[in-house]
Amino acid sequence: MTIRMRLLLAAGAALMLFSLTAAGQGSEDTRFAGVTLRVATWGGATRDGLRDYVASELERRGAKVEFVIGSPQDNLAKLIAAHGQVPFDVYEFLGTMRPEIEGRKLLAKLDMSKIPNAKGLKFEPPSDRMVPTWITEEMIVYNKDKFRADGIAPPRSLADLANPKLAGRIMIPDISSGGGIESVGAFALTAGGNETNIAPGLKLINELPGVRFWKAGGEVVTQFKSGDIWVAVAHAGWALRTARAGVPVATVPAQMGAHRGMVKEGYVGVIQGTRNQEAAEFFINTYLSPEAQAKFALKVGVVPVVQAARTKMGEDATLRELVILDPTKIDNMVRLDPQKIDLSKWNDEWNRTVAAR
Amino acid sequence: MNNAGIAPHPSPLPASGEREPSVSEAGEGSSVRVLRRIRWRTLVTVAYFIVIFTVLLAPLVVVIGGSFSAPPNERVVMSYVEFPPKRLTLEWYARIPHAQLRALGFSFVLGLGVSFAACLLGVPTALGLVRGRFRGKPIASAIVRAPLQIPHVVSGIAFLQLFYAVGDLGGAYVQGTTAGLFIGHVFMATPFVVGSVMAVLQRMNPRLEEAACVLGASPWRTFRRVTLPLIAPGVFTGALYAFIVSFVDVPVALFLASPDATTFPVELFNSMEQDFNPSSLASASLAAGFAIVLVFVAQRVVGLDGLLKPKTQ
Amino acid sequence: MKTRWGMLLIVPLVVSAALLFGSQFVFLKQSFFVDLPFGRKAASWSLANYTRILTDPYYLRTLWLTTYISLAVAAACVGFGFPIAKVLARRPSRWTTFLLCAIVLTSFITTVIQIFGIVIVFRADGPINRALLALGIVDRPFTIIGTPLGVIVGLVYASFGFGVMLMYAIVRTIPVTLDEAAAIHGATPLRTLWRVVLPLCLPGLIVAFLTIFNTSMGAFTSAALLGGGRVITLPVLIQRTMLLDVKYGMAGALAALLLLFVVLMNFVSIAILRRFRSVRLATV
Repeated sequence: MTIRMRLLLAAGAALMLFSLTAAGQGSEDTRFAGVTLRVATWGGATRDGLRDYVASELERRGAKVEFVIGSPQDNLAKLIAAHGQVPFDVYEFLGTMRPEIEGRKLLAKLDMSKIPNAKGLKFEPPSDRMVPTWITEEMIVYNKDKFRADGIAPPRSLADLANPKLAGRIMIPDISSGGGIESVGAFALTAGGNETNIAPGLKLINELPGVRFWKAGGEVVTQFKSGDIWVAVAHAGWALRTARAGVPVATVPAQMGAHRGMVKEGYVGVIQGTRNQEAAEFFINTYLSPEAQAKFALKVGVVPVVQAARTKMGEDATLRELVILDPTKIDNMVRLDPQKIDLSKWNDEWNRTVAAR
Repeated sequence: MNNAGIAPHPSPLPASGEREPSVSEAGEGSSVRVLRRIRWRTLVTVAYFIVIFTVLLAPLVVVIGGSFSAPPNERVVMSYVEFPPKRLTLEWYARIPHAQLRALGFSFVLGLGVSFAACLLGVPTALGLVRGRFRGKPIASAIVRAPLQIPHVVSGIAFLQLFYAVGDLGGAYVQGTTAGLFIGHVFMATPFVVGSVMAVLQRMNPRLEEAACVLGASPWRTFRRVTLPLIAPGVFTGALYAFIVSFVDVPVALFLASPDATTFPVELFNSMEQDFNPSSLASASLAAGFAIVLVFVAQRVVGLDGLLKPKTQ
Repeated sequence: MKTRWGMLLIVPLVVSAALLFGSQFVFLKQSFFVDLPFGRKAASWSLANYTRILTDPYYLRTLWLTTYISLAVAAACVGFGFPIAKVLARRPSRWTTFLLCAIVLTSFITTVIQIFGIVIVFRADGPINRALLALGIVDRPFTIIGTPLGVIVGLVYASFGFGVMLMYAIVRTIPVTLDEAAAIHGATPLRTLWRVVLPLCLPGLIVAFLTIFNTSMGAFTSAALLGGGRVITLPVLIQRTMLLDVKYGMAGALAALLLLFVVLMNFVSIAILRRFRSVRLATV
């Protein structure tokens, strides 16, 4: 053979070898090729965090991940309206919504062997159809400068918000927003009620002069920034994002009896009848990996549920200021009992008591 | 109309020495007074117009302006829009969420389809109602016009439940599908085509068609060559409004849409509630730009009168 | 040659009727069943939903809220819009075309986009508050979001264009010669407006008022976005009851109430129009 031919043969062999190994890698990376996974979750930083740290793993394996944006109550409405069909595959919701969701039998059974990272969880999931993904700390968030300028003392409990100086400057979650259920519960506890008797809490809410309701946490950031509000009830992650936007805010865990602060648990589940069970479980597993948990928490301002990730939280200075990382303090925070919450009744009472007169 | 403040009717014979005052009476002083009055009146009118139109168009201007406004803080993407803009940028347009662009295209195509179907249903209906001779015309007219009276929220809830019922019976669910949305929008849009075409038909001289007949044209030929061109402006306006009704609708789409089939207004609505950032302003500006083009084109094609017709009863 | 035009109606009419009666029937039927938790409904029908609406002060308050907001919107649209319509109708010019196109444009744009702009314009550091603070009219920035005023503003933006278009057409039906005749008889323009044009326009204005009132009663978007969760008008309540509370029966009953109200108003407006038309025909 001439030298040229030999060179050509060598090149051809190299090419074949290269393409074989590439194909070999490809066949591993296209495990989820053709899959479009739909994840129902909040918008804004939550969606961004999931997209960058969790969905990216799936997309590297050939899947497409789409996000259906809404509060968990809104997404539950979409689920129910779908009447048995599957509008999305993965659903992020709140622990306090469990009875509503379980009562309608909307979630599929999870194959926990496909979610090995669940072993790193701080606490056991309440059922085999859902997995906790983060906890948030519900706080009173206030603008330090505005409070100081007006001579208002920093709030200690939710009752402190009923201050005429704060008229029109207060924002609390609408009951249909992601923070709504916890907020109503917190007000109830502050006013001497509980999960089965929220009337005192609603009465307290009505005493807040000119109070407005937020549907999405992003509104809190915007309203703080434009000076429309000086104090809000939201989880610490929103305070973090507001601070990053340049507003001088501080957080206070509200005093409710012996407890200081309230904690909200986020869960994720797979919708019954989905055709993408495997991809969904892979998504959840990635969500629970220490790396994803830490990065997500740093971005969004939540507290990870995987122990290994919690240690990384202290890295961000602003986060340290606004999010409470001391485990004893976190344990002292109130958790609402989902079994005692009749969401339908809560919604009805809210509509009646709190709507504009 | 005697106390209308109008001067008494002048008697046929001018009475001597008695003349009623009239605007045309020209004395130096009074004409100057009249001139000043006119100018004052015009000034007030113009000022009023400026105020009203500024207020009316302000939100639109703010949306379009805000879509070019750069955030003051480079590091952080905020949901806060800086207006008036301190710096201009195109980045929001580059950052329009894929879902919104897709929804924009979807709304556009859906609108075209709805418009077309509304014309298919509406033109024969209008012809039948204007030209047909039969009893029960008022009832037929009422049935056809009914969707105009029904609030969109009610239509949304009605169709959602209808689709559930049909699905429960027949197994085929259309709620949350493009087909379901299509049906709901056609329901809302058809009366606009009917009204618009009826208005044109009623003014059209039927003798033109009779002449064509007499000259030997078949009914279909007459329709195609005489009737259709004459009612074309009405059809165009009706089709335009049918498109708009579908394109801007929120309540019905909110009930009948799903993550599979989302319209642009619903995407914007959700983004306002959940996920607001200036890239929504960018996509909104795109839609606004499209609307501007639409108005301009429509005004050229059917003129202003044509544009305003379908809204009358 | 006699063409049976009526035959053309058959297919589209059947389709229209099927859609109309089919959709209305199902939700009305549902409204006679009480809702049970988790989306189930009662086994036997009852009027419970309706009695609840008519006796519960909450629902009555909602209806009243929706009504007075809609009245304010209709008054604002007709009040501020009529001068515009009249001037545009009486002085055709290039400007008229341009301005009318601008008005038509506002109704070609989905309300959500207008609301984006309204929120920015009215926020605490927006132009309106800045101007009010500078002029000393208020000492703290105010907000309209979450107040009935905010909903009224949003609804006015939604209906203003439509109102002007309607009134423009009405004023155009009055011949200019009437104005000229009045002027010849010595009436000032203001008097002409008050005594000649306005009375003739009145039935049309009433229809415009009632139409905008009706549209506002059923309007959802502005109330949902500008109501801030506090101003819950009837359409917003219907949507929440249906989608969030998942109470199909009650939502159906509320929708039936809204529908009844709107249809009643329409009949009233048609009756008024007929009466005025006959009166007018008698005098002219």
